Amino acid sequence: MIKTQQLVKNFVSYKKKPGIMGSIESLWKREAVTKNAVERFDLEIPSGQIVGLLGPNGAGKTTLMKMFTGIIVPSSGEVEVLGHKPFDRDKDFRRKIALVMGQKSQLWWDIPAMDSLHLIKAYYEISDADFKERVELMAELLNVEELLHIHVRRLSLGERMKLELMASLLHKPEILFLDEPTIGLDLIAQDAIRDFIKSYHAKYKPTVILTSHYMQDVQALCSRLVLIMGGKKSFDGPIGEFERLLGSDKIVSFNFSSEPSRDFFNAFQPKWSDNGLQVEIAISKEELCPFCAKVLEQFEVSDFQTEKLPIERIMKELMMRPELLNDR
Amino acid sequence: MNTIKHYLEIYRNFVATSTAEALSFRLNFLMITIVDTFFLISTLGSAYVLFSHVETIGPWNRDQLLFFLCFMLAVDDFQNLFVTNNFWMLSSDLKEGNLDYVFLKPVKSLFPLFFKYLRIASLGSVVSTIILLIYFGLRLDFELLQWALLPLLLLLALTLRSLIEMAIALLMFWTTEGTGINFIRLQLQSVSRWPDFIYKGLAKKALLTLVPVLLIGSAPLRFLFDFEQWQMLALLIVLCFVFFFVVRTMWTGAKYRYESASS
Repeated sequence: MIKTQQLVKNFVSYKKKPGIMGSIESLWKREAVTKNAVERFDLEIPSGQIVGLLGPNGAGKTTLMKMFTGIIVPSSGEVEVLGHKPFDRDKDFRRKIALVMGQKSQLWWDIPAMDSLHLIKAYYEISDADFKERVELMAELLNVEELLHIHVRRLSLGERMKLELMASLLHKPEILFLDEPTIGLDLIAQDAIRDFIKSYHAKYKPTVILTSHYMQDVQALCSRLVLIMGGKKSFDGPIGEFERLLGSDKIVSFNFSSEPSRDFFNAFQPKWSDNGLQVEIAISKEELCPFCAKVLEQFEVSDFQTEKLPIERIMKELMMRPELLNDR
Repeated sequence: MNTIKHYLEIYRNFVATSTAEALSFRLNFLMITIVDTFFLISTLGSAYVLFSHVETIGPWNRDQLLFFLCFMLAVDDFQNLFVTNNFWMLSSDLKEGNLDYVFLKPVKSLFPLFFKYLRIASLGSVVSTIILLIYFGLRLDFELLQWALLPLLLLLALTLRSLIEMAIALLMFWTTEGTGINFIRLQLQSVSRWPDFIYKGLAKKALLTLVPVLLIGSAPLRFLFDFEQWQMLALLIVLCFVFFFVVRTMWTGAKYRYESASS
């Protein structure tokens, strides 16, 4: 379905010294800076999977997506998607893929979305009956029936993103590339987008490649994660394995009504709040239940919780200390 | 669906989306119509002022020159209607990475690149220019064959102008910033608004061959006024093919240069 071998993309930009003199000097003297956005990247994604591409800003996620879709040309290496070389931009290939970008729009800004959808219908030669059925189905799922005839510039970001998704799925692509589809959205809108993608995938089984900085997206949708750091693949595997990347300890936090004895927690790398009424510890799976029972028995616990999104913590730690990946 | 039908259906939707967009801003629509009308009046007014001092300019009398000016204005207006907005949008689309979606659509990317945006507000100007063109044609006592050839010659002129400007606009894939490129386009348009015989020497040769903007109006009208002057028209037709291949070749290089934009 998607296969890359030693894929590389370099971008060349220029350094400019600040101020007018720097601008004048840049007329004849420019220092070229080559950035390796993607380096010797190998990947294989079979049909029907939802794969999350994770990494900090500038890691190369979007560059990869653009090479997968044929928007930009790789500097070297091989990429094959659905048996096509994306940059050949074969029309059949383009009919089989869709790309949604959270920061760009394919809908015309100054007209209602329905006019743009009709244009997309013409591009993909969708029959009247299919168009009507798909628009009705997706509009209902996304709850946007009333928004189709309103000028796009009048819509909220969340509403626009729902319509972007509709526009991208109208031709029923076999692969859907989602580049930060929930960026900037409120929690309700994020949930709506995630639920829609989940139910769309359950119904039509497209392959989905998702990039997002929101770990809730990844947790809710992806079965497999690919981590990119500095253009290189640093991890590729199931989400459960990623959660155990830096050890299998669970993170538990307790809130107390009165300050407990700190010595009791010392064995578990405790992190105390300033007022001493909250502690966070890392504890092995085996020790978790007996230790929690002891704490509940011995201290006045007002609340306690186990970590909801371990991948968020792991991502944060890896972004701050990428060298941890070398120690694996 | 066959290819031509497919492209025509897409074009029908370009017209629909551009119309919807243009009519969303009624005052802007009105202002463009007024500015176009002023341009028409000032161009023809300048010619009237000139002819209040002289009888002829080169071999042409007042009605012939006014017919030429109306012909060129018609080429301008049709180009404004069908293509020009795309040249203006290209630079920002390139810099902001908005061509991503153009490259994803299952059609030849040059088609949406240069035909996606129509300037519907130019319709009024097209109509008034055509009326004036017919008026000056009547004053020149055109015969039936001349009237029949006029739309074809207009189409040829429009084709050459658009192909030259597409080739120039594609340079934006190398320069990224399009202000300079658009300035060159506008200057060449100004040059082409006068008949070839007012230019002399090397400049004239270059403007008839290398950047053949003088052919756009002069070639069709020299032929229309005198069927024996067909040589320039033949050159115009040949250059249409040449520029078609220039555009295609440049496009092959241009699409490799597209690097989108960071998001």
